[in-house]
Amino acid sequence: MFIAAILILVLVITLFSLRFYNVNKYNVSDMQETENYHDLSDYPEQFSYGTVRYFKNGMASGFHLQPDTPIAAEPIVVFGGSEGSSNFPLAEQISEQGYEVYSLFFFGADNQVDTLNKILLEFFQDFLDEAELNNEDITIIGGSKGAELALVLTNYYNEVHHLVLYTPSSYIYQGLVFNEEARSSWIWEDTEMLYIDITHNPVSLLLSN
Amino acid sequence: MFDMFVLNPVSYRPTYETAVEMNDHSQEARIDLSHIDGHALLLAGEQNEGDIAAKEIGEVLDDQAKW
Repeated sequence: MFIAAILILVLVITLFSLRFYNVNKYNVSDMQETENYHDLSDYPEQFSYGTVRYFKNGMASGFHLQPDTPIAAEPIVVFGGSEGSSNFPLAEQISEQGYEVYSLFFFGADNQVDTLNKILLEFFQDFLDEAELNNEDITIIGGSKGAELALVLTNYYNEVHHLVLYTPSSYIYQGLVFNEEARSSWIWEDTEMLYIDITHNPVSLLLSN
Repeated sequence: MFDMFVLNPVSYRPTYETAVEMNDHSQEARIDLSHIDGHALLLAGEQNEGDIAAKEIGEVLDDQAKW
């Protein structure tokens, strides 16, 4: 009985030690807050060497960072990942080097779908129209789901020229939602693109979370 | 359950790897890279599935890519 109590005590201490270690090493918690990336008051109207303009057109939403003295280079579009940001800090950093940058949301804005699920790729045409970049070469920088999006867009928009992709994907995966049915991440001309369902995995992302 | 309690970080790699293997139409869900006419810089770590994809994409794009 005494040995069993000791073992249970050791087990409890071990579990809480692991929890403490993870909280401190990875800065995780069981009550993570979801950031709101759509409060415009959180964004500046200018950066060190230029101006910032928020725009909406059709299903496009984002920021145009225009340097005062732009360098001769094709415009850059930056996408965030599944967190839903427009990767604004990166856009700011790049535009300070003289690049004209567009920092785009692809879901979550009030003219877009709420979640990363069944996103209409035609939002990119609305962006091209707004930025007057039809038939112009564009570089896209995307991370994770934004990298997947960038690759998918190459199939429909000749404007996409160079790519910088962080943690890219060779496949189209399902949308990342947990309070509705996850379908394809992307829709083109009213048709869901074929996708890989990650919940087929016994060690599913849902359980991992 | 254990991972949730001790707050282990989410491990995406096995999830995505197994999902590709188990889906019957994985090849149809593969992204067509044939329309890329510029260059691609591919960056990924080894803790998720991104390094495998970066290598696959890089091999297809050949001289057009650095990874």
